[in-house]
Amino acid sequence: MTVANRQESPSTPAASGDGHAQVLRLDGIYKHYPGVQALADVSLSVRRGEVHGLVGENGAGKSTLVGVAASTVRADRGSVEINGQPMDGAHPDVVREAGLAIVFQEPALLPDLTVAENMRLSAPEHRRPTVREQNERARSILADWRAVADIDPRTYVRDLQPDERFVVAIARAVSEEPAVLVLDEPTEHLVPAGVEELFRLIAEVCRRDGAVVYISHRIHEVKSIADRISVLRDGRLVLADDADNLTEHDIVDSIVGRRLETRFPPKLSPEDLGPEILRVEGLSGSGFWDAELVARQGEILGLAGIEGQGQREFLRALAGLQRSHGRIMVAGRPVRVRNTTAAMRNGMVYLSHDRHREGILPGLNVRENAATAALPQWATAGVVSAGREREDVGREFDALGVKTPSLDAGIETLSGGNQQKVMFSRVKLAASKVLLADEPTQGVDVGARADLYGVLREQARDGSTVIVVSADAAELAGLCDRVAIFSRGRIVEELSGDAVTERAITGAALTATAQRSDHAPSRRATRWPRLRRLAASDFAPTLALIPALIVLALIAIQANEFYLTTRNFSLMLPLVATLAFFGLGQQMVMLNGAIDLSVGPLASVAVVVASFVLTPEIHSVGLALGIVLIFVIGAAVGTLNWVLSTIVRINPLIATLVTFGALQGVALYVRPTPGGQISRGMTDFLKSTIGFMPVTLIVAAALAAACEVAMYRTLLGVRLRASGSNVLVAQKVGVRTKAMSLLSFVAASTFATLGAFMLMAQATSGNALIGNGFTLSSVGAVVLGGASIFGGRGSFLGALFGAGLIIQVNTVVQFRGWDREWQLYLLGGLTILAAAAYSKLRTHRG
Amino acid sequence: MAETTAADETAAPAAEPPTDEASGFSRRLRIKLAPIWWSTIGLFVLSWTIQPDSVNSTAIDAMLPFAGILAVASIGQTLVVMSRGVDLSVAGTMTLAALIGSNYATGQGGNLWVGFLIVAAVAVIIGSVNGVVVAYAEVTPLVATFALNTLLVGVALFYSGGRPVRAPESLADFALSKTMGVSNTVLVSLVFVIIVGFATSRTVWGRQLMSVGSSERAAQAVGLHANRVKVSAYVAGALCFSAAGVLLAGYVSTPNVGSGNRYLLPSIAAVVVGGNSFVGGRGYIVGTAVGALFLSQLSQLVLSLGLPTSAQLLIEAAVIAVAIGAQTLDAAGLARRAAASLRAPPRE
Repeated sequence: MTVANRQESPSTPAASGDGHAQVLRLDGIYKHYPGVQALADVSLSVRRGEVHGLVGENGAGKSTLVGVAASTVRADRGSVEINGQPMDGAHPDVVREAGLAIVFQEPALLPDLTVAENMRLSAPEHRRPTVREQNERARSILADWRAVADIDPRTYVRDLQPDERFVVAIARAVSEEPAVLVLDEPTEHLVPAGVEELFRLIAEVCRRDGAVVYISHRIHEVKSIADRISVLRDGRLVLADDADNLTEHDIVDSIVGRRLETRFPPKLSPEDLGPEILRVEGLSGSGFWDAELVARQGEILGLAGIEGQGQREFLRALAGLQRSHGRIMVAGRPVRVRNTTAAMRNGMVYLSHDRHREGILPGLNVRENAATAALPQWATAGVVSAGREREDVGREFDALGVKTPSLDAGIETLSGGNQQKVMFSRVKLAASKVLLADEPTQGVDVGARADLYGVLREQARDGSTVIVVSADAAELAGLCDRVAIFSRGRIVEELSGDAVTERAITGAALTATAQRSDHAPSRRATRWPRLRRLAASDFAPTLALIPALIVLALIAIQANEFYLTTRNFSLMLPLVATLAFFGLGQQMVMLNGAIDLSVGPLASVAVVVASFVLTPEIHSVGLALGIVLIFVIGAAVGTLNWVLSTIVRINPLIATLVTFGALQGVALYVRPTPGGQISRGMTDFLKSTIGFMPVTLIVAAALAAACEVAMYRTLLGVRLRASGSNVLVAQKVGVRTKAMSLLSFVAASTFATLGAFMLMAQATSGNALIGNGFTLSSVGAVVLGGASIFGGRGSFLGALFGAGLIIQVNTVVQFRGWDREWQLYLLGGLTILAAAAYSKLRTHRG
Repeated sequence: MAETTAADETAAPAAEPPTDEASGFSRRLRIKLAPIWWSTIGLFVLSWTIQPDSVNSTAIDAMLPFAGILAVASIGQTLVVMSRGVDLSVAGTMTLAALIGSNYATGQGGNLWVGFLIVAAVAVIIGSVNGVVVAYAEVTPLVATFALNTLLVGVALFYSGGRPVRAPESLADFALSKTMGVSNTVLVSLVFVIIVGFATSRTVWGRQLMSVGSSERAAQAVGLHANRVKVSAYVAGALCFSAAGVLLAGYVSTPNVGSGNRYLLPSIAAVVVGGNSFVGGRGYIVGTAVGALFLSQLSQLVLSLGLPTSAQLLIEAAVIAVAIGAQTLDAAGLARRAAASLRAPPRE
């Protein structure tokens, strides 16, 4: 049964001989995560030309299995082969070169790179376009999708809508003409036209003799497109057969495991229906408009519709998480929900669908998680009574059947289902009149699900109304007394009583969307696209700094004409060059999402070392060796910073704070008091000018320009930005992020060392404190230049101009004869203004 | 907290990080209290062994007030760190509080309370500006507070004209004298530990701060006003910094424009050494205070050994690195990560 290790290249499928050659083979895969056996003895083989459906519940192990195939997840045991080549433990790049392309549920795109750059970065080496070709190539790849989404390849991914991101990811994967294309829940984000295009492309891949692994929880979709189907349950492969041999029923049974009818609590009898609690009239907001709704005490109201019809936005607007206008009345009283606090105060509480990002409070215990929203009710004069809190939380946990070792167990130690129960107890403890539950059973296994339905019913019976958004029509049918169907942002139908069935809900949602075919998703206005792009680009801050520099110069000239003399420039410009080197270094680490506080004292160390090894008496060979030594010290410090921050994983701020202190110690040890002489020959050389322009400033500007170009035009630069933009995604697309981090720290230290040479020229003797101030001013320079401390963005020219602005401010204050504090006012004020302006420009682009 | 084992006792500071193989859960529990306590006890034992003069009553008397001042500043820093931020304006705020507190109280014929009120008002303004810029203008805390610090140093320069200010007699007397054998400065810092420790763990505000620091989006989804909570953290932080500044003014008698600067980095170090995580959420106020004591005694020991500043800086850096490392890493994980990062991926 073993397939011999046939060595064949993916480009010659014909060599496989028989038609059942396996392009992808996973054999006996095991993977254990803390607390869960994600995969146990799973084997999967995918043949040429077939669509292989992979189904299973949330947490069944589908994504882990795909991760193993792509080498982004390391299996504990088992082997992976692509086209007969063993891939065990291979780098994701190698797997990709071998012909596996994967579209993740969360598209692996880097937000701070353009669409074209993303495509270039992740392309297999033999298909990678040059930087010149990248936009054209991306445009042609996206051409097929123009009807679905018109995407400019120069757009930054952070500016794309979620569905556009998905289109980019799919188009990119298909364009690689992969031997195996893996699609993880591909239709979740696509509009109908997109699904059509996707199915056409899948057929094309198969015709080319490729294979498609299609992961979805939409069984009928899988059934209709797949040739063979494998079912995963609790990390085990429980079924693998030809799709024709299976009915939807068989598939569902093996997914669920036992013939388990989810038990729903009995519905409300009409006589138990209480008074009206919530009335919504003419409510509009982003994604929905003119919604009318009434909810009464005791009932559970469902909001249905195909994904993205405005039902979630409507719910979130009620919760105060999204802006809306219109009338909302709670218990007969008109209310306004400008934010979540106001919604809560008015009796509406929200249970998020995104437990990881909007639900659990990581690092806190289960009690603290459950109590968050209800603290004031246990408090006297702002002090929480621990006893009452424990008592109430404990009672709620008992009622919900939360399985936790204690009330003080960390939330992350619980299983997904139990975490969700803690989220339930949180909203229940908040004791609201309206419970807004968004996908309340997402990621919860079947058993726990029944419990949660009971909880929702009980909540309604206890005098509230419950509104549920769910993508699962069967769930809504079993749970809800009434269901409102959303389509194109409007409520188009309402089902109640016996009409609330799965078929009716699905039918209503589907027929409603039929009207949607002519509807393209609305896009942002694109007036002045060039100007907009420029304003949101990393280059905008630089453009903003130039007028600031000029205005300051005019202010100085007005006071004193000496400003315009070459003598002034010959004093001022070397200072700009010095600070620029430090700024360029700081920009390097910030591009990678870190910070380096040690640049200042490193320069001090370099200067005091120079005062011993670069003495005036030294001959040229010694001078050269000394210079090399100093740069080696710089690189070593950069490596140390990298080890502490990236390997030991100390926050870079703290890590470089430690090296800051240590380097200061070293500098003082080498030269406790200022003294020594540095080679005149060298310092004179460093002071040489062309006209009034110091050579060193020309060098700094050239380096800044070179770095700027390299960041956008070379693959290394793109990889560095990728790594700073999002480490995990960068790793997924094969960037060696730790190497990038090492590069950035060593580059930062090297730039700081260059700055140190400038200080040598200015001081000509050793001084252990000379560089320290440059730590903070380097941060100032890059912040003025528009760097994002979160990484991925920034501009080296910006850092250069930022350095220029700082020196300019100091000069102007001197020229005007203002008091010294004005330097600080101007710098501090400008930095805050600049940082706030850049931040707003970025968040409110478009 | 009952989870301390013999393994911890052997983990003397600067010696070696504990390398026990406890499960993640119990290890986390232990980190809450153990390392900094044991490190500090170990440090005092070490001091007593190698340099008994560094722990005699004179030395302790000289060290404790500075530890107290650092503790108050670091507690403020902890509040900001809990909100997932960092406050570099601790330096400027302390300086300004020291100058204003001194100056104003002197001008008012030594009425300390008026001085305190004004200092507190200034702190509220500083904290609000920091908080608003961070929360509403969405500027990275590091950048926002760095910039404001620059401004504050400017204001301090303007206010003092660059000259040292003499603290009023009454303030200096208070700071230098003792109550029941304990320095008043130390007593004030203990009061701060108790109040802030209580506020963070037992009040609605403290719990909300914890939630917002843990996950801003999750806290907001259930009705917490994340931005207001963040602003309140910066305001509370600034109030602590100002109190530390006033104590410092009383203790050194002649504060100047640079007075606060030397507290910037130690205030952050004490937070981390005290066992707080920089990702926000829960804060260990007592841990921070003990961390401040640890750092102060460390300087004291190094000073009393007669070592030069250079050695002092190097030893402090090394000890801080080890103390942090002991909390953030297990030796096995380190080795694995190092190996993983060095292993070159196979390439054709």
